[in-house]
Amino acid sequence: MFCANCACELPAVAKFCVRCGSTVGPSTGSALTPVAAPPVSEPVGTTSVRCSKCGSQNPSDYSFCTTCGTALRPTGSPVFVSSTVTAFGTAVPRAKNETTGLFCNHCGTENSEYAKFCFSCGQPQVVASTDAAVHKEPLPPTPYSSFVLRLLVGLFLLAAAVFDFCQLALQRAPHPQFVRPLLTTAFALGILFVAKQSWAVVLSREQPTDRKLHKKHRRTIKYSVLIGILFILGAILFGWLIGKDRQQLQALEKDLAEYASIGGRISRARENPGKTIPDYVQMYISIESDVTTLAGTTSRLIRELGEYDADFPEFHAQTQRSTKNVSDTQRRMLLLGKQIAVAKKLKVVEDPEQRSIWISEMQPILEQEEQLDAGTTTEH
Amino acid sequence: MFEIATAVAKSSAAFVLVTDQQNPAPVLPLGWLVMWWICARRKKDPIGGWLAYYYYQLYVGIIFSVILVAGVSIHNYVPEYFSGETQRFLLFLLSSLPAIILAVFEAGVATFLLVLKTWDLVELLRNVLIAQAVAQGIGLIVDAKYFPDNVPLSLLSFVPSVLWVGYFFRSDRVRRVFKTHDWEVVAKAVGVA
Repeated sequence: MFCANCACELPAVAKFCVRCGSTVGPSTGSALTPVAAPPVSEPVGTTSVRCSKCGSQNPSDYSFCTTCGTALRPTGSPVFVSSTVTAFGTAVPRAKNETTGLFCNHCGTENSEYAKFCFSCGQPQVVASTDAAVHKEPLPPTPYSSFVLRLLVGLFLLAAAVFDFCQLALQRAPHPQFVRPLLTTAFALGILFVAKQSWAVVLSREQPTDRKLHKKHRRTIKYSVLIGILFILGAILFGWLIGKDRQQLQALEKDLAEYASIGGRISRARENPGKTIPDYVQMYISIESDVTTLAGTTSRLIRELGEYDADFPEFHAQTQRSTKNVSDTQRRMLLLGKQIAVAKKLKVVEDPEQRSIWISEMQPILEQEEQLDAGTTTEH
Repeated sequence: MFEIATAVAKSSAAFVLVTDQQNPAPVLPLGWLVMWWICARRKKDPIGGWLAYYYYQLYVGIIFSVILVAGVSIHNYVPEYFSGETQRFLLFLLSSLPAIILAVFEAGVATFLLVLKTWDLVELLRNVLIAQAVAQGIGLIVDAKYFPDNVPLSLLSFVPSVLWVGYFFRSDRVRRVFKTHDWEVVAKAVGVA
């Protein structure tokens, strides 16, 4: 059965239309086409409203009593449980806590977003033309800051990884140490991926429909790339500079340690060589390899100290003193080399000849060494 | 320019005394005055006045710092340079590195703010500036205790940081350029910005 006034489908027992309150005649139902009529849904839930005039029970979403046509609630009171009438005229029950956000200005009843007239009082409704109009509150601002923050953190981590790679490569660090920058790179790429998603959110929020907005977005991308390039270039520059310095200082430290260790061994060996020429010969033969090594180390050290002096001019005086010491040691190694050569000659001859060679060849070299020691001592 | 350049300059003095040649202080006031004059002439522009000065000092400071670090004080960031003084090296990093990293972030955020001109980026920049002021405050405390020679330079970087935080919170220009986007209207109505 349908209402002759508003074409609303009605229960068979209805004497009045639940929507418009018109009297329902016996012949009205057959005259109307059900398809054209927006049917009212079945009562949602178990709640019902008792008519104040005749006492009949009515579903809670009915506006008028089906028995006597009396209004079931005062004008302006909202319907708490409603149905959504779709664009095709079918009714879909709406969950109790689900709202469309569109309320009638006349009676306050909540209506479907597709309703042209109020479900309860029949007053014309403003049709929601866009999605934005459905929302009562304006959209939150475009999240540029999330994008910028994530992008900068990602780029910074990527730059940190590049920095690490550069300095480890220059130091010729062992392979396990490269795991650290690799992990940093992976982490940085993850954050950059999240930044890309944030940018997608920005684009979805701000459709670049006008040229100005499109230009702004393009500039943002351009600046992101530029900042990324600057970060990476900075990382390469500082990674290379620090890596070079670290390599240089590590080499210097290693050579200084070697210098002290070998120098100490040679000094100890020369302290108590014995009393006879063969004892001396034996001592010289035993330190031969150390002398050769130390001669090479001192050459390297002189070069490294020169580089250090150029890079660290604030330590010039200290570096100069170290260079002088190493140069003296280098000269001493030269003299020791000569002594070893004489000792090798002494090894193959017998005593009288040994003595004469010692006096004629070894003695002058030892005197030179003494002079060198005296000069060093005087300077110190 | 003072802010970042001094943060970097003090790194030169952390381990050794800075020579006159390395100390940027005499160069800075002249550049400071020239930039202030340029910015004062652009008072009516949205990015003018103190806001333009902020950007000038930021970018010039970054360029100056890169030159200073790469040319002079890079050795101070080499751990081997502090051989046998690991704690001193860590304290030096604590006093200088966070401020430099945050300065790089600040430059990035400020650049995007210049392009996008949105209020959420102003809020992000404020947070970065606050973090930088805190980092420089910590640096100042560390310097006062362990590197007393650096205290004047630390102060020179800390004070401007705090002032810029105040500027970005209080400035009418910042609000009108980045939030209400009506600077031109106001500048025209008032006559002078």
